[in-house]
Amino acid sequence: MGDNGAEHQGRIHALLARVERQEPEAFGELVAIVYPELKRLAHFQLTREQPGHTLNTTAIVHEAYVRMASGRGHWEDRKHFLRAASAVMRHLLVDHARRKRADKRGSGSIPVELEESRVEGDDDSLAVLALDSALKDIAEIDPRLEQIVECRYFAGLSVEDTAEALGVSVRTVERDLQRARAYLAEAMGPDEH
Amino acid sequence: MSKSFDIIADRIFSAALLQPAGERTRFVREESAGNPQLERRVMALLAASGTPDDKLLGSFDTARETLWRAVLAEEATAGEDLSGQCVDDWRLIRRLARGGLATVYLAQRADGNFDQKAAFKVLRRGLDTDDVVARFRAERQILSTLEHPSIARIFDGGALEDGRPYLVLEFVDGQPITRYCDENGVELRGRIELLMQVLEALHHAHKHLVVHRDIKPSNILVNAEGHVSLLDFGISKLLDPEALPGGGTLTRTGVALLTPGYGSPEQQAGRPVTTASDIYQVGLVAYELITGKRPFRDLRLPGQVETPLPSRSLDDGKLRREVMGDLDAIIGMAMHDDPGRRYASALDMRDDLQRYLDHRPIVARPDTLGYRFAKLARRRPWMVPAVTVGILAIAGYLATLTVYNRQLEFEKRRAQAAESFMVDLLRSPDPFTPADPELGSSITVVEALDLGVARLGSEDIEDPALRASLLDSIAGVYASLDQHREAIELGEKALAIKRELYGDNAGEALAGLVMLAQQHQATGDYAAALVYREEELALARRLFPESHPRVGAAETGVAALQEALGNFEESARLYALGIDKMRQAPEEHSRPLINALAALSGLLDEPDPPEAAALLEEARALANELFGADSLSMALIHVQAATAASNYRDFETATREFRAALDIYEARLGRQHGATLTALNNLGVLHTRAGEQERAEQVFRELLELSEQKYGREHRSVAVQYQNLGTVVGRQGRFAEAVPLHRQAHEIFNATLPGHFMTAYPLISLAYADLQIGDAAAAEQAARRALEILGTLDSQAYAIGVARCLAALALEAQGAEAEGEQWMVDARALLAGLPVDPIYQLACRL
Repeated sequence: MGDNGAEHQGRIHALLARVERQEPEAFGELVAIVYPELKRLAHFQLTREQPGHTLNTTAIVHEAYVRMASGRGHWEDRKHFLRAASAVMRHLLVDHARRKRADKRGSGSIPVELEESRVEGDDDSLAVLALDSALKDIAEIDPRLEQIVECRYFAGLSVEDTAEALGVSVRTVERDLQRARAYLAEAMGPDEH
Repeated sequence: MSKSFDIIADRIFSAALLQPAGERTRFVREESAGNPQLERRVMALLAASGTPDDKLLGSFDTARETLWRAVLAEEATAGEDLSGQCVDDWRLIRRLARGGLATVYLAQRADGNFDQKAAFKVLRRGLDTDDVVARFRAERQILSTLEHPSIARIFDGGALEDGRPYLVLEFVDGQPITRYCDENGVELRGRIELLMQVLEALHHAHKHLVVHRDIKPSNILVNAEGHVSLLDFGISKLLDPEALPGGGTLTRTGVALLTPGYGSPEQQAGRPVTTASDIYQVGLVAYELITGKRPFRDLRLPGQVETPLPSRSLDDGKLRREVMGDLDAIIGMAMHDDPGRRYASALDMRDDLQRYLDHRPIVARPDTLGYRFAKLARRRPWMVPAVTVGILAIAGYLATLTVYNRQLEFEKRRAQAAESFMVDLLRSPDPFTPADPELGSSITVVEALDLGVARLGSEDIEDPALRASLLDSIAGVYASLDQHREAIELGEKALAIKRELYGDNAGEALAGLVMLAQQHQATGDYAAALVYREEELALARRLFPESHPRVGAAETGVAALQEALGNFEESARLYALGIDKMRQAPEEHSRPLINALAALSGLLDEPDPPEAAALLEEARALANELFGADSLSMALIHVQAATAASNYRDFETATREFRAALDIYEARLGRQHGATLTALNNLGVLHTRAGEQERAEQVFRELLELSEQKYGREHRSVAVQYQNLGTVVGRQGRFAEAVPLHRQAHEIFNATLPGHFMTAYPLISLAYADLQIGDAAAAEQAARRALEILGTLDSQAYAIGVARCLAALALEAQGAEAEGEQWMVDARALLAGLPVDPIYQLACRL
């Protein structure tokens, strides 16, 4: 980053403005820029963490926003950024989980990671993939539920941040989370888990 | 369960959540309206909604964190390495690079049949989103359309087992251009030559409608032999999605992962990206290559219009002097904030760099060219207006023919009614080949047209589109017969109807705008003509991409008017831009292209004779091939060749060329036609210059009479004839006779072109004639008035110098010798080094 910080900010700002205008290309571009920064920050956090500390993804998203969009950010920018970051995190996790499953079945091109994948535990991959596919069904009923879950569960955003990302009230988010939970509980069968 | 059932259940479920907990059961029962299935479903949802958060979110939090750690661990171990593996026909030898999106391996054919090394580029894991995959496919498609020594070829493409796409490209063993130059100590000249290679490759891509969009030093590799390769068309974009099969999805998915600091202002702002964006990026690379620095520390922000001068950032005095001026201007033009002000093509920029290397004047520097044009105008104050009129008149005529023919075709397709109407109207006489040069058959045509207009008025033609095109057609015929006023009247009516029908962005209006501009041009109303021409250009830009030949044609239309108005440098700039665009489709735009080539050749005749000759040859070959030796287009070439010859005082060639032109005009258009008259005028001017004043006088007297008949007294062409006649009469020593002729010329100019520098020319001649007949007071008055009009126009230094000299002589003759001496000193300073007419040389004692 370093010298590129200001350049990044300008680009993020321009991209967010285009997302605001609903240009189809813009969201994809935003994701592509946000992705490496999120990874970098997460990595940074992990290398500094105390043993037993959990990875604070909300903090990562906030820090990424401050680093990438500060200076000229305003409310609308932040809203789109939170949405974009959540979408990126979902993509990253789902993709990783999918590959773990593929490797497990032996169809991946690199068998070296088999050992690790057992250490990680299959359940986590399964949980992520189940949530991902359940969300696609839920979106059929109400697309906003998918977005709320993306922000809240995949990115680990707080209820307040989720409300900001979607431009709705905290109470709406709480109520929609109740709805989402009902559908997810049904789809993923958490009681048996 | 159906989707609509789920949605109804969800609606009741949502509403129930708003109810107090104790009310919900009753609420659901009421809302379900006796549908027990629905009621059960909603109640189940309500029960499940009470699932504690930590049960869902808690388990998910753990999953999320574990996965995050795994993702990061994978990053930390530098990702995968497929070296040593075989993928389809390719063996991957070693990893070359890991980019943001893809990993590149050095590869070879597994079967050894193909010795050449290749670059195997595969998408990185986890990045295979639909957008990125589509972009990868697009790169393959785009590259397969390009074939240029400086663009890496594509050999193959496919997908890994996990579905990730790969590309196999020509392997370029080179260094990024900046590093290559620095490590090999490449001099400024060598660096510029490398940039020219980049521009040639880019021009090839642009010709195939491919915009690169990510030009930066690391995408320009130079091999040990100094050969440039332009790489990574990964985010390039096709300008026309229909140019490739399946390319239609590309515009949607052409995700621009711009490299920080290398995006053009319009890319940053998310505005449409054109070839001009690539020019901008080459400008940035040029800046960096020459100065070793980047022009903007941060992003260039919207409104940050100024590009810093490259020379400003150089400490080395010698290099700084080499860069200052021309290179500053070239890079500044490439990086202009407004895409429309950058080089129109990569080739233009390449050519300007070549001119810089050859120490020739560059295009990016209007000052230089302005200076050259000033010299041009100084050397031939007579030829500029006279020849210009000729070219304009002919250009107008030719384009009108084209418009008319196209319009007729359109009619035929449009409706049976229109066809029979036109056939009725134009039944017997052929309006374009009047059998009798004295207008015998044309009169019938005009009568037929008048009849047609009357019919258009009386018959109820209800379809407004049909009405408009009929009006256009008839206007076109009037125009071809030099009946400008009628043509304008009908043309404007047609345009108004079309605007009402199709709005402001209608391509249907283009032809009408052209015709109206030409007609106003022909009547001498340049201001009105310019309005239509600029409107045409703006409309063409809305309808077509900037590089489209039709935009070029419109640019040359504006250029012709700027030339007529004396704005030579702007005119030459626009001609050059327009010509370059029309060359892409020379047959489709043959006439405007030939006209523009001839006109630009005329403008460059003085500042750049080889270029002028080359342009004229190009025009001659085109005209001969497409229209034949006795075509009107060929006549135009003869006129220009004659003009050039006469400038070099080769009067024999000039007379021959003018005669050839005149023969064509007389045969094709008749003696009365404006184009014929202009050719005759040029012949007269030529006689004058050759010193054959009696022959010239004969020509000009005839011309004056014909012009007055044709245009009436208040017309620029008539003024030109008075002026020319006055001059030749004076040159035979009959100054008293010349005075009223010059005065008449001035008055008509003044009425038709108030304030124009041409109005001063007759005054200068008048002052000279007055001096010769001993009326010093009148001479002083005329000279002072001329100076007032000329002001401080740089292009008019010659005329100003002569006027000052004549004023000095008039003052001296009236006894104000001291003042006169002062004026004479000024005059001599202005005229120093200019080729001055022998008559004035003598008078001004030069």
